[in-house]
Amino acid sequence: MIEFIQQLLNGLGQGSIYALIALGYTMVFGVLRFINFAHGDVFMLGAFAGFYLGPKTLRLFGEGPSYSGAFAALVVAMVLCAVIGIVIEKLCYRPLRDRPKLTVLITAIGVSLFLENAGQLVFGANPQSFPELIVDRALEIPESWGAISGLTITVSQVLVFGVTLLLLFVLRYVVLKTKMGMAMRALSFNPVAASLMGINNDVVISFTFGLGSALAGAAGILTSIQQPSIDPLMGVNAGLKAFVAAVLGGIGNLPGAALGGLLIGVIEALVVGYVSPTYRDAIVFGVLILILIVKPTGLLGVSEREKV
Amino acid sequence: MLEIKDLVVNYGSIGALHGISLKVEKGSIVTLVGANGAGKTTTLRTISGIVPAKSGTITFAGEEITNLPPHRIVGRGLAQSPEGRMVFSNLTVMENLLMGAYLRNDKEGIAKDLTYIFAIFPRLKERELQTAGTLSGGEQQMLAIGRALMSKPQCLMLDEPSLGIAPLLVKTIFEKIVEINRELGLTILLVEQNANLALEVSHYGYVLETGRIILEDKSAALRENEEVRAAYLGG
Amino acid sequence: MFERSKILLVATLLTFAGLSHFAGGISPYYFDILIGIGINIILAVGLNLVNGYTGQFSLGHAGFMAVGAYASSWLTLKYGYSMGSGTLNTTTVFVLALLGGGLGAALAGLIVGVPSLRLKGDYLAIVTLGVNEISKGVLQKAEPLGAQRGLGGMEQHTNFFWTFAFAAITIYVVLNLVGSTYGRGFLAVRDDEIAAEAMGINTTKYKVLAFVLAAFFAGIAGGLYAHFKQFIHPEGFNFLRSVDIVVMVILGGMGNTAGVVVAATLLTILPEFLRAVSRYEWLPEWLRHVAENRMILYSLLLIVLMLTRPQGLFGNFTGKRNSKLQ
Repeated sequence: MIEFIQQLLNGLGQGSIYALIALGYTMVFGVLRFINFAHGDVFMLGAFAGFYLGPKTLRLFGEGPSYSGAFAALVVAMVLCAVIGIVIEKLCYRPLRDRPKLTVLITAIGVSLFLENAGQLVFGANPQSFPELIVDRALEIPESWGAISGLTITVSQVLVFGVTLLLLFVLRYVVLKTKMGMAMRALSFNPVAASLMGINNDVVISFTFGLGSALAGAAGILTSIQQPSIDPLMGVNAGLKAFVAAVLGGIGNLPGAALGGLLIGVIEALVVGYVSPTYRDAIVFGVLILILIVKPTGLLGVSEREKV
Repeated sequence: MLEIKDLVVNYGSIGALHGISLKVEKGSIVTLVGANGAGKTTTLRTISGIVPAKSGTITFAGEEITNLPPHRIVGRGLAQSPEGRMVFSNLTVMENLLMGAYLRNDKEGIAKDLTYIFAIFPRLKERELQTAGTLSGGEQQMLAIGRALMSKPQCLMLDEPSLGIAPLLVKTIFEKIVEINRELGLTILLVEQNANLALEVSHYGYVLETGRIILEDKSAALRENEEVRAAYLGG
Repeated sequence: MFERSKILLVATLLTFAGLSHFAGGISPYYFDILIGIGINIILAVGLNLVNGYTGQFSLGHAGFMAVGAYASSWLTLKYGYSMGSGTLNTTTVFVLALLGGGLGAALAGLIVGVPSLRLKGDYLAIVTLGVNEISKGVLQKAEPLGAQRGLGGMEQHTNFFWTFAFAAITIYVVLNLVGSTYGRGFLAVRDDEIAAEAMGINTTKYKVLAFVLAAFFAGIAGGLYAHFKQFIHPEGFNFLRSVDIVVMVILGGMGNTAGVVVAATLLTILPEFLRAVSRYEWLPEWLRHVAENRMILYSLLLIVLMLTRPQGLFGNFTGKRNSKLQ
């Protein structure tokens, strides 16, 4: 039982990362109806932002690892990724707004390949070790708590999960309570009607890309705190898993993306723990194929006929 | 208030409007009637900047607005309740109305206008917190009109407000349109397939046929016109 | 029309048979490139059925190539060398093994295609990409097929004739198919899927058919590749290999077979050219690095093409439909 709970916890840690990335896929799909293939690579850029700028932000707060320094690195990476996301949309996707979807898809694949390969050229192709932003250690659980004291819970796990929850609440607030959030929802339902409300769709789309990319950037930092080895291709696998998570939850549905991410993380952890690490990737795509056959709209999605 | 001169619009290589001109005087209700596919909706969509004009000019409140982006045109005080209503089904009635006030920041004014809209369409007040997708066709039409009013426009364009709505509600909605025009002094450009109704509530009318304006006159006169009677008013 | 193209095919095959005798005189380096061109033509022309004519988007073509390569190698290794030594015999086994590899890949295509082709293009791209990565992962773990060590020991059966014969057959089949009733079905799916459905065209059927056929040719190409290099490794069939093929289709012009053949040829030579460029020491360091990594150029090529010329270098995507596709 303890073993099982341990796997669940590990799964939630990884799942938080998937959830944060999946939200970006789903938001962009919501406003533009296309899958931003390059999204996983923005996550990678977030990790590298931390790699280069993390030591600098730490120094702002004294010597060695610190929470404030780590938090600053997180914010810097989010802002940087937001800017990158907005620039990508402006340069590569906006000129194609009225073109066939396939054209945009190919462009997105091109952007993704470019980021991965330019990343290898600039950052080097080999894995690098991420700077220690916080001192990671296992939390001590008092014996008196009974069986639970057998669990290994690390500071980084708590931090990752906590920050993810925080970001989810912030996102929820932005989408449900702010004017921009309402505009996002209106646009995702009907872009023409949205523009008749006086909404500048371009601004909302930029905002959406910025928001989604910031979350991916945060995920990049958080994942590197948990597993401090990063490389320019780390976004491929994580991006694919997060995409599966978004589809599992129902693409275009925000709570669905978060739920899907956590589920994928847990499923993965359970497969690794109880079956074999070999099937880790295969099972995730098994989930994708299954969901596409059984319920293509995802767990929380509602069906939407493609408009003629 | 709103003036169109020689407006030409093409969809791909197909011409939709072949140089139409019309004028909407301040404070009046002007209607554009015609059969399906005559170009009525295209006209409104072009005025709102959704469809690009190939040539010709659109002037609003003394300034040219031809081919401005839609959000700019709304910003200048020209709102549209589009064909098919296009309410945001995923948002509540309240949120839909607030979307209409997207460009406004005067909280008090917004609250005042909400009260006004709830007064003319009490149904909306009852359904304030329901998502718009759960409303009936007629209620959605009220919401679409209310939403457009929320931008505090100087001129309101209505595209087929009677389409797909129970006859009883159509009557109510047209009464409200007249009421809004009278009480707020709001200029209205009304596009309607139901020429009978449209010519009854409007002051001036244009008849559109396959992308050309073939006739214009005071609405009362058009109602007496033999051609119009034969073609649009069922004898 | 149909008859004439058949005669043309036979004539082409005979020419290749004749040319094949002179192929021995080419230096191994150029011979290698030449066979590479043939294999890439098979891959790209096949993929063009999916990504070009039906307007879907597969990003995992190398996965089907892998299935064909491994299946045919397994067949020749198991049966090929136990049947005596007659030339005819080993050749027959080789061709049967190629077809077996093709069928294996087609089956894989069917399994992947049926669930994912019911959905729109974006999904297919990611599903096929995922399947590509999974099949690579499975091969890396599959001990009987050499796992991480790769699989070797095949004899070099692939020669000029077989490579270009299959390339010619691929082109022949694709062109004839596209010119047939089926072809109009493909184009209908591409141009307007909803309208096609409304007209009673079973769009899924056409999409699956195109997909399975493309997988079959990829399998053949994989078999040819395996019996040319005599060694295959899971990494040789990764996502980037799939991208190679996709770039050929896009550069050539989606739905333009002749263009794709030219693009496949150009893009097989290009890496060799780039490799030469990267050796010029007088060039700036970064430029030489870029030349070494063709994927940077490919990715920029994709972006720039889509922004400026989505119909590819040789046209025929969104532009006016060519009524004489065959």
